[in-house]
Amino acid sequence: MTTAAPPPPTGPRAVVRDLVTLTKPRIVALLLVTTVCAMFAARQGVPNGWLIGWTMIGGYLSAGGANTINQFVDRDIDAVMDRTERRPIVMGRIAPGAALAFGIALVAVSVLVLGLLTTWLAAGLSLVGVLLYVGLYTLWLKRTTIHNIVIGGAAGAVPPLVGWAAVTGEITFGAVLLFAIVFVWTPPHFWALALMLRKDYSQAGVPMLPVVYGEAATRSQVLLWTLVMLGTTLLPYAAGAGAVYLIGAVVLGLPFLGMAWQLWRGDASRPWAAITFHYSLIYLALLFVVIAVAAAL
Amino acid sequence: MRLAVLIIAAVLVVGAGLAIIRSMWGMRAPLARGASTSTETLWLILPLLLSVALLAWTAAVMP
Repeated sequence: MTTAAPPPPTGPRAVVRDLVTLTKPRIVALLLVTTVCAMFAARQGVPNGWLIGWTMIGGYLSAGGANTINQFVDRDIDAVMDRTERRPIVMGRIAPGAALAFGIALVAVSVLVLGLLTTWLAAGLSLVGVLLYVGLYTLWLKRTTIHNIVIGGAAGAVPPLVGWAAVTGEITFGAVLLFAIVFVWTPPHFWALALMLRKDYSQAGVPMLPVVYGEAATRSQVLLWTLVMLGTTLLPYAAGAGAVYLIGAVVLGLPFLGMAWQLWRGDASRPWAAITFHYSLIYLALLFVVIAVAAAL
Repeated sequence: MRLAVLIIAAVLVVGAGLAIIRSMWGMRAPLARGASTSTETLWLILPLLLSVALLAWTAAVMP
């Protein structure tokens, strides 16, 4: 005799919880760190508190909307991956059409919030980020190429541009540098995750690098992209940032390189893919905090 | 000092970038509908081209 699984919780609170889950709040939190710290860099000091608040709200709605639409598009592969099989759409707690409408509504409101309360350039850039994530990454590259997360990583690099544009109303060299740092951080970050989830991606038929060309090739790419990333993080100093930034970038970057090195060597003494992945999250947040602090000093 | 850091950055970015292209050159076979060898080649070399442009831009604005 089998025991039926308990029915999913219902009611307004459960629905709200599922809608919040659709926006992937933990991922959006990291994006908002890069957004707000970019605002400090753009101002070369402390931006207006209201401007920070509206930019964060708009940024959350924009990224949350993109994440929701992503889960609508990917509901077929989410259903066969252990990591994602409990998402609200897959579990049937939120109807796919309702999720799509919710995601589009979030994006529309985000454009209005950013456009009316910060700058229209920030609003436009956030919309470009959504289109890159949904159109370029989710609909096109994710299922067709091993370079999906490299090129698709451009979407995740847009939030610093939004923050910069919210403060200055323009995109200048400094903003492009911040975009580039997040762009080149994405491959070592995401391929470390893909090494951990190789079986999941294989089941879903997603051509992540470790699925198609194996773990050794992926470990090499993590190390090489970490070197590209470290080189890129030196550029702000070359362009005029102070010694505080340089010291911070090097102090944070060297452990990343050490972990990527251990991963590349295939050291089985510790789960280096997981360690590298988790450190990469802390790394990006702290690097942007360093950028903000160095700009405010 | 800034020039030295820029040179180190250039060595890291271009050196590792070329190594990425070299190691992945044989992985350009299209995997699915919507992919082709030419688009795979573009995705492979585009990041290095953008990085080189960024290095040049940095050199141009360096104080």
